[in-house]
This record gives sequence, C-alpha cells and structure tokens, in this order.
Amino acid sequence: MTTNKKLTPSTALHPIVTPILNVKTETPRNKRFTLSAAPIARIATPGQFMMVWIPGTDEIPMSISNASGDQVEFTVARVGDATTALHKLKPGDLLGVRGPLGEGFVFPKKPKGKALLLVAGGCGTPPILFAATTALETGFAVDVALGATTSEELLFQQPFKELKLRNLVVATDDGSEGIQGTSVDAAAFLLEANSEYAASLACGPEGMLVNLNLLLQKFPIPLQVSLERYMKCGVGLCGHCIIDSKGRRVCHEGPVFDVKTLKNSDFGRWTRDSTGKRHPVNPTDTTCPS
Amino acid sequence: MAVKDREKKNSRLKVKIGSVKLPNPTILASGVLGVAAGGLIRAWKDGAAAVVTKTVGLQPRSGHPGPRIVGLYGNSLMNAMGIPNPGIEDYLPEINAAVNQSIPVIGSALGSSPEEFAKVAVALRKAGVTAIELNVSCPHVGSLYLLGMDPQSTSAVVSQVVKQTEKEIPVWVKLPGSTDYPRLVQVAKAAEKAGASAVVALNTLPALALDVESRRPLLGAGIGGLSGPAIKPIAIRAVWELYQSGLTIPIIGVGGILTGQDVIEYFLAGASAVEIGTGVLTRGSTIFTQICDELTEYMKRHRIKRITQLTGRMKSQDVKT
Repeated sequence: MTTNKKLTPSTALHPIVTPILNVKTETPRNKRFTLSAAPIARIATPGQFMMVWIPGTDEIPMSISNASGDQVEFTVARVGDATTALHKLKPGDLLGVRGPLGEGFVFPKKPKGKALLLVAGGCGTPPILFAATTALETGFAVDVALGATTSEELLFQQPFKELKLRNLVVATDDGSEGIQGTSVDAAAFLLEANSEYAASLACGPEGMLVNLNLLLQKFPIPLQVSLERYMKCGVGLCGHCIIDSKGRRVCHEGPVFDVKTLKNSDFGRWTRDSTGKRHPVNPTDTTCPS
Repeated sequence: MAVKDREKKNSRLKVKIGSVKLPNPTILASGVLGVAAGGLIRAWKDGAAAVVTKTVGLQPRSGHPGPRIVGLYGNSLMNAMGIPNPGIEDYLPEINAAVNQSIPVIGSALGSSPEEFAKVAVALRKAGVTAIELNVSCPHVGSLYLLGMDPQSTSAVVSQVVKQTEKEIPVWVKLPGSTDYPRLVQVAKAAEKAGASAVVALNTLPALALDVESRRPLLGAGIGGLSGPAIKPIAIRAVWELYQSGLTIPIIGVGGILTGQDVIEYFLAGASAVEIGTGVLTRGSTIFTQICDELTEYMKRHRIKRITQLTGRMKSQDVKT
C-alpha cells in the first residue's frame, strides 16, 4: 500500500510492519534477521537500536547489526520468551520495527591515521559489527577484540574476517578457540602490543564493560559503552531505563555513553526488572542477560 | 537558570490548588519519567512546579506486554503500559530521593479496594508527599476505569483514603477519560462530598488502533489509552462542564498540552493548574520551562498580574445548550 509520508507518524513511534526477508543461524543461540525498512536503514548509525514487535508476543529492544540500502538487520540470542518466539519465525512472517532509536557510538573526528579498539562480548557483538563496518568505511584502522563462551558461540567471526580489520583477536571462556578468557583479555592482548588508540567502543555484558573500563584506566583511551536496561517505551517517555539522578535514559541519551559520564550512575551497580524494582548488578557476571 | 531565578521571572504564574501552593501551574503527569527518582528530579529541574509519581499499588505489577506505546498523527499517542510498579515498599526510595530535594511530589495511588487505596495513601503520606492523586481511571486496567466511572465506588475510595490519612493531606481524584460529561460531573461531586481536595481531568481516553498489515491491534494489551493533542478538546470540555456544574474544589486540567496557549485554554475553561505528560515526548523534559516562558509572555501582553485571574474566564455567552 502506498502511504503519504507527510501524514505518517515518525517511525520512532509507529512501527513499520514488514515481512522478514532472511533468517540466518549464526551460532547455536544466535539468529540474524534481515528486513526491508528503508526509513530506518537509511539513517541508522552503529549503536542505535530498534524496538522489535513480535506480533502476539511482545516488543523488545534490539541493537542494529547492520544497515545498508533499504535493509536493516538485527541479531539476537534465544534467552527468554520473546526471543524464543522470535527464533521460531521464518522469512515472510511479519515483524514490526520502530527506530532508529537512541544515540549510537560517536566516532572521533579526522579518522586518517587513527585506530579504534572495538570490544565485543557475546550477545553484545551485533552493534560492534556495524561499528566496525562503518569505522572502516570512514577511514579508521580497526582492531576488534571478540569474546564468547565457547568456540561455537563466537558471533560474526567470519564477517569480521571478511572486513579489512587491522587485527582480530578472539577469546573464549573455555579456551576452545583463541585466548582463554573474555573479550577484555583479548583487548589486553592488543593493548600490550600497541596502545595507540583514538577511542575504544564496547558492547557486552555489564560485568565485562566494568572490567574493560578498569583495564583502560591505565591508558589515555576514551571508552564508550553500550548499556542494556529493561525498556518499555523506547523513546524516553516512561522513565523505566533511567540510570542516574539527572534522569538520563538508556533508550534516549544512550544506549551508548561515554564511560566518564557514568561515574554517579547505576552503571555496574543497579538494574531494574519489569516492575521497576532495582536489583544490584553482579559485576562478576559476564554472561548475557535474559 | 536556577529554580529560584525562574520563579522570580515567572512571578505571575503562582497558583494554589486548595492548600497546595505552587510557583507555576505546570505539573508532571503520572506515568511519565516517574519510575525512577532521577526522572522526577529532572522534570522538576526542567521547570515542573510539582511531579506526580508513577501510579503505585501495594503489590508489584509487571504491566502489559509490548508494544506499550504507539505514536499517531499529529503528536498524539496511545499507551498500554498496564501500570508497572514495584509495589509501594520498593518504590519508597524513589519518592524519598525526590522529597529530600524539597520537590513537591504528588503520590499516585491505586488499589483493588478502598482499604488497599488507603494503605498505599498512608504509606505515601508517611514518605512526605505533598498530595495524593487517586488513579481510579486507567483505561487499560479494566476494573480501575469502571471504578472511576461510578460515583458511589469513587466516593467509597475517597472517604476511606481521607479517613485513613486523617484529613492531613490533600486528596486529588484523577477522572476517567470519557465524553460522558454528566457522569464525570457526578463522579467529581461524589469525590468532593467524600472529602477530595481537587479533581484532575482527564486520564487518557479508552481507544483502539490497528496495524493493517497484520490486522492486529498496535498495542500488546489490544486496547489502550489515547493522549496528546487529539484529546485536548475533550478534556477542555470536561473541565468547562465541571467548572460550571457548581463543583467548588479546584480542577487540574490534563490532556494534550504542548504550549502556553494550551494552558491558557484550560484556565479559561476552569482549570486552576495543569498536568503535562505526552508533551514531554514532543518538546522534551524542558517543556515545563518553555511553557512557563510562553505563559509569562501572554500575561504581559494581556497585562494580567496573576494567572489565577484567568480561571473560568471563558466568554461563554456563545455556548448554545
């Protein structure tokens, strides 16, 4: 159906309902979904997200793992009811998407001769793939530290290899591939050889982001982290994902924050459940939330 | 600009809602930014004279599945949050953090019985809130909407809350979104008689929006509440009907306010203050400061000293009934 764009509400607030074009199993837990949603795909930047409506089930926030032309992709692990329902869908099934939402990664100016350290932990890998692709197109040299629980759960190892990365260092918790350890250990490995980075961009479990921040204290490298919180509206209205006394919202001022601005926030300390109740973040937990 | 300087600049905007004195007429509506203290504090720093909390009950509620909001034409919105809240006990730290900064906090309460409403109200009073707002009108939690459409049930809740809080704290009643104006007047009068200090008109209107590709409702709960500019003329009419019905308690107008002009409209129809919710999405959380500046400009241009002088001053000779 043709619609008059001038009369259509913003795609941040009103979903584009569109058939799934492609579903690809990336790892035993992760599937990549491709949709045609031009108004989102054309303006999305790495680190931004969409609210994905699984009709009849729920609407959940999803990082964008790639956007090119009219197509947008997200990649999701099966962790709860909504993602389980999502994993059952096939090409042709309808999904609704609102976006692009939030503020993504901010790339340093004048990329020539500068390098970025991208750190991806498990379920946090999708926006890092998008960031790596964009950073290379912009002219940065890019190193990626990629971590997962085991070899078979390493997400996007192949797509990363196909990019012209300067270095890709892999780590697995069980040592089944690459370094034994987390993506932070992979980042430490890279930093030992060379610490000349203009910035570091990271996404992954909160414990991993806390550890990465601790590691980077020893270096003059600004760090941006992408946070995950329970989101209900996705556009900054309900306040469910507020993380500090300034009322900053992960869905609106985030999900990507300069870690320096998170000193007096819930980062590494508190998270909220579906009722809004606060729970302590377990800093030693480096697994993906469900 | 510091809050004090702003109050001086907007000295024409002081209002009184019964015993509650506020430096300007704009109040953050319930359900917006209010899950966390940080959101309440932000709205106040950005100019709201008072902030209404997320509606809170005795027990935790997860709320409805998503989608929970959907935007419509012209900045209107539908939502079906389903009143997620952690329960009063776990919500108290958020209230305390705002009250500790001397922010006038209005505690929004819900319950499944007059006694439950009263228990929540007692806890809110103890936490130091400035007033209680009774949510008897959420349009996507069926039993609540019905409560607020029934004068006797509303009266029972108000009586119990006023009694249990020892008449020590103002009790506001948030009226249901409805075009049944005679019924709204009945409910408001029943609330007044039971001891309410103000009525808030209106909550979101029960509504439905569909996606034509999937043929499904656009909200996870199916039905939802309509807010924003689409409901403003309905709420203005409700305020006017209430104002000229002989109701003596103040009316707080809410629904579709985006500008200072909208606030003036509510005042002319009979409002003594206003609440703002959906406008926070349209103009950001500084909508409160922006609106106060617009109000002061209007007041100066019309040489009006106090905004309170405008309440009910609509020229009504043109209304043919």
